[in-house]
Amino acid sequence: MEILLVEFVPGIHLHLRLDALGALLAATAAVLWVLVAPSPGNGRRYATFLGLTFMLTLGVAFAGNLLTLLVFYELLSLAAWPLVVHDESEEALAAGRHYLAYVLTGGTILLLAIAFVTLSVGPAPFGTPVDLPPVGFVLLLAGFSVKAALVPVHGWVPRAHPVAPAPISALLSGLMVATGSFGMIRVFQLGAPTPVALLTTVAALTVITGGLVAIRTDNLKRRLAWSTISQMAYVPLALAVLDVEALAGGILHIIHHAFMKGGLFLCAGLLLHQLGVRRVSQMTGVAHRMPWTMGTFTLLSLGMIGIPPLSGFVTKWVIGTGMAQAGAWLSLAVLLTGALLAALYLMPIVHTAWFGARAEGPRADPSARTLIPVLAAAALTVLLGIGAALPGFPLQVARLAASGFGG
Amino acid sequence: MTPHWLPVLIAIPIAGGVLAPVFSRRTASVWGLGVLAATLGVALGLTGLLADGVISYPMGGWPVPFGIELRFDVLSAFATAVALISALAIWFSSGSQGRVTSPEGIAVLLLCAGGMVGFLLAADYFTLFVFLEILSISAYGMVAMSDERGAGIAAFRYLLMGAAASIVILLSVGLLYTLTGSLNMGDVRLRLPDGGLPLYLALGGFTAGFLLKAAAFPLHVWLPDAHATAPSAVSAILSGLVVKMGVIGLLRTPGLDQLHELLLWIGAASLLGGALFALVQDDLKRLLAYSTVSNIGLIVLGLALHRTGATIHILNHAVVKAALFLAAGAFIHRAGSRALEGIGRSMPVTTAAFAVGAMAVIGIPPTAGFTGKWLVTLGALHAGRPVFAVILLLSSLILALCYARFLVALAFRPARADIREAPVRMLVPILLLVALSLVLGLVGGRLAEFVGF
Repeated sequence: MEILLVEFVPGIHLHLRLDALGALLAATAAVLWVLVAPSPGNGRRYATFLGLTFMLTLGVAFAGNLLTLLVFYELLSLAAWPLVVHDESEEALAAGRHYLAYVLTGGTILLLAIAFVTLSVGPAPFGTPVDLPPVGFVLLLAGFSVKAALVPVHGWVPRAHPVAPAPISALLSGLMVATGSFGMIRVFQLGAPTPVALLTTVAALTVITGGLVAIRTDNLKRRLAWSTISQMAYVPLALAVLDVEALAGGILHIIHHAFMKGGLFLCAGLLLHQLGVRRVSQMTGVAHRMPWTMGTFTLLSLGMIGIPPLSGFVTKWVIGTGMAQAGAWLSLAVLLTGALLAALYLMPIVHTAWFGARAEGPRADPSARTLIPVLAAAALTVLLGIGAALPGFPLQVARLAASGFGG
Repeated sequence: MTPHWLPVLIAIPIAGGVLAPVFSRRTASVWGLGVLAATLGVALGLTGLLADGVISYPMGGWPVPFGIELRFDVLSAFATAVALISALAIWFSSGSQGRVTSPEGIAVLLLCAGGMVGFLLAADYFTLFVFLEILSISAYGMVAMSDERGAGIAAFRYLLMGAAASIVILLSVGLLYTLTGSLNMGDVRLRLPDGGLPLYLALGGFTAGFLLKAAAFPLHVWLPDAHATAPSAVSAILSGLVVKMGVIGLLRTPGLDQLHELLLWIGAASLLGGALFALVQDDLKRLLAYSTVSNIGLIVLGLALHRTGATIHILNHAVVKAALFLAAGAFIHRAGSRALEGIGRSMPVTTAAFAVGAMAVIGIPPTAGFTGKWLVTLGALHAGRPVFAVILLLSSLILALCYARFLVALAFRPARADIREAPVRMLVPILLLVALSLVLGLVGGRLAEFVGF
């Protein structure tokens, strides 16, 4: 299903198109926004831009050609900015400056890339493979890698996440980074003209660097941000294998990761709000004061590491089998190292929270209503893991989306 | 019958300007609005008729190329923007006590609009020069209408540099006449010699003069002071319309293709220079002025690389920059000074309009500024000069950071309690221009078809 809106530059229309890949991103966004929306008391500006970012994410999902994708992608970058700096502290504003500098530079590279592509193959609607010029291909990936937070252009992620309100961090990690990965998938959908060893290298480097830095980071939200950098690099890692099954796993990972990481950030927000806990080193024994919150946190952490039968396991399994099929053993090793690193940066938190010296003080779990979003994220993690093979579940749709790829 | 409307189109604002001083302070704005509405109506009608081809009018029935000719072509259609933006500037200022809406102010403003319309319709170089003088002299006067400190000096400096440009252009007109024996634009093109020093002198004179009028880097030094000290409504006209006459003059210059390389480098220098100077400005109107220098750079670059893109950007930047200057005027009006920290919170509508305008001037798709930026980028890549695409995109990135920094000061600082949203008479013109810029951004394909070089 597609629709050509106005011809906003000569020869290229604002083009909306519905396919399996876009539908998955849109559905994920819809659920995630519902989970993070119940945060009243943040005022009109917050609500306005929260709604705007949702609309623009849907635009990214339904964009039918490269330039339309860029339109929504750039506007999304800008609309998320007031949310990142919502606190208006000097620290938040500084992080906002970094964020803008990064994402706008990425957008500018993309614009140049799309100009290259347009000159040689025209508007390039998704769904019809084209001969991408190698320069355009490389520039496109470079442009998308800024938001996809690949090393060395990941800098905005660990800065922006700690200063943004928790629901916004959840969105940034859950979907903002994912739009970058999504863009890369769209590029591969158009065609991959050059060897992708470079992408594999960069993605592998990102998985490992992200994990290693996360282990050494004390600030909880920043540690989760580094985890996002590490985990989301699975998507380009899977893409670069050029295997349909690995690709399906990569697409699936966007969805499963969104709910797990979204839930983790919401938990971090609750910890900060209820107990003022910002750092992992302050979390000794907090599970005894907030058992529900930390219980959820533990479940989501296990999912993130990839313990069966949780949703994180499914994506790693699918990506892993795809890599094995294609004989990409090195990528597979990186994938498993990533999981190991995830255990190393998440399990200490869980351990200290449950088994550290008991924190003194009354029970501090928030009201049941406030807990609903995190519990829902946990429920999704279980459900998407156990039910992964059911028809209509993301795995089937992701396989459908991946099967349409030419190469 | 149609061609007779051409002299009428010029006569309406000029006669309106001459008659304006007889009105009282209260009625002068209404007179100005009426005159410009009539101008806009005629200009729109003629633009509609352009589909049937260029409209030519030989003055006094003397056949071309012997008599004076007026022509209404695609560039002349910019007269609609001239009338619209001038009218909105008057509407914006109406009811204020400033000199813009005094009978003399309206008179100068209408003469400037009339000069621009005449400049756009002139089909021979001498008439072009005459109208250039009319519009320039009224522009100097408009800058001097400001109550700001230093406005007199800014206006005088603008006058000196503008007059130098005028002399150079006049000398070039004379030189061209001795070379070709004709002043009619179409005729001159046919008779142009292949080369030689006199020709290059004439071309160089036209280019230097018009680049100065357009405030291209490094001939821009008069612009920041003039545009920043003028009343905001006047700044909107100066930045949106008057500097565009410089680039339109370049488009009218014969043998422009021979200056390809020069235009490339001047355009690139303007783009980057304007953006870099904008980066260090603390005053909003100076920031806007330098971003005009940068955008003029885009247009000049486009003259060499993608003429359709350049022409579209002439229109789109006019609308966008006028909106921004009017919004700045609304901020300054409410704040009572140039200190605007935190004022955005109390003026959310103006701030939102300003933010959309800023996106457009940076060239975020799908706003109005994007079409020209995209086409010129394509042109640079197509010509095998990707370095100019990189310079262009880099400068818009720098501009984005300038505007972001300003928006932070405006909207993310503690609110000022004593301030209210801008009055309706200011909001309506701003919102109209912003809405128009959004529409222009979406119809880039149509615009390119209309311009169609």
